[in-house]
Amino acid sequence: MQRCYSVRIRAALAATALALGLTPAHAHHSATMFDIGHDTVIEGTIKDFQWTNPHSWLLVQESGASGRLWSFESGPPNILARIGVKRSQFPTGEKVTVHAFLMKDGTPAGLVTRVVKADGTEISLGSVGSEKH
Amino acid sequence: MSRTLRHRRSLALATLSALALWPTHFTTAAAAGANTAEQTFASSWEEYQAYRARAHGGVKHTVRDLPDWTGIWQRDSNGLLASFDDSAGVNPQLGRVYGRSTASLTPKYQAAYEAKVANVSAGKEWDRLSDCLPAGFPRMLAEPFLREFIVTPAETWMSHEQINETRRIYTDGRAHVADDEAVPLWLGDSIGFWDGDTLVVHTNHLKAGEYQRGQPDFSYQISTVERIRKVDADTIEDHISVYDPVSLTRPWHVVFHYKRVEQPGLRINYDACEENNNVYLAPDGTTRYILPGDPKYRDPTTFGIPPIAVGSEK
Repeated sequence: MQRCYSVRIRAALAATALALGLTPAHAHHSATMFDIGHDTVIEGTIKDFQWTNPHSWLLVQESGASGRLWSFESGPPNILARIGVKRSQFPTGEKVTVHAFLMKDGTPAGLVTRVVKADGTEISLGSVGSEKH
Repeated sequence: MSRTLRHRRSLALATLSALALWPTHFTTAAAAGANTAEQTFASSWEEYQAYRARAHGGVKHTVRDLPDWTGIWQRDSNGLLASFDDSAGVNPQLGRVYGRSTASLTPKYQAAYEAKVANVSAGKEWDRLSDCLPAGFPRMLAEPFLREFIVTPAETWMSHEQINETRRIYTDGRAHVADDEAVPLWLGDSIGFWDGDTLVVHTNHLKAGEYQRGQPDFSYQISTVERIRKVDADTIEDHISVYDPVSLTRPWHVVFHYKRVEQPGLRINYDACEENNNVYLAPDGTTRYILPGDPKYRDPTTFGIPPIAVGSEK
């Protein structure tokens, strides 16, 4: 049931994004730094969600022995809000699975495309950030 | 100016003087996405003056009869966000959202452009926006964020969400800032007049820059002429002629389309670029992050916030 709900939410967000013409990334820096198209999955716990310009950032402490702190970049709050993303969706301490295009230079960072929460809810951010800039 | 060009310009101006023919000629060309000014004028100022002559100096709108350009708008770029002329399709060397350039460049600027494309293709790209500098003009026209056109009798403002750029176009009859007093500005100095419901604009005194990411560069000698009008309830069109004798071998004519964005409660918020700007240009030419734990990392939860208020955000 949750899965169906999640799919409906995603479809609605995608439709809204399309209507607004927000499929592209709106960013202030090059996207050549990312391994675009290579989806990598990181599981961990949210340390912080920075709802800031020029980009929002999701900081996640990786599960397991590494315990690495990952920094995932997303779109500006203005853009995310327009496609239905809310700050409250990323509470500190929540376990999440993050899909991202990682940095080519090997640093623990990347461009988040979607986040799967512990209850299976999926938040799509890929429409903001996976294309340009 | 060459003899051939002078002759061609004389013929063009003679044709313009047959006023009945000019509007039809321009409208037809505009509908086809072209611009009658191509290779006709020696400078942007001559092109601008020809439009003004045709419009008999233009009309002075009042608040009662100003064109209604209210609303929030966004560039329709056919998905080519890193483009200036989006009609040219994708740049096959770069793919994705990088558009092909249709500018006719001087050898020096052509070589620089080819080097830039090669660098981007190799993952080496740095954007001045990453220093929180403005897109500037004319690149502002090609940015994908939301924008507004604020029209008043004496001025029209073009505001852009990204880094809160606001361009002022004076239609009160003033002249440009004198050359020996002017300072090169990111958005330049814009004056204009109304030809019916079309805003005709001349812009000069600009800083050098690039047309968009992955696009050519232009020099301090750039100047432009625009014809901006609302072509239907949901579309504003901007025909621009770009002149730059240093970087272009002939004027670059491009058409921009802006589509109305409809969303209840939609607003443009302030965009403080520096509040969380942790990117830098690495020595190898790539863009990199400064991450938490690095001494140079600027923590957005404390940067610019009074210590007493840190941690108390709602």
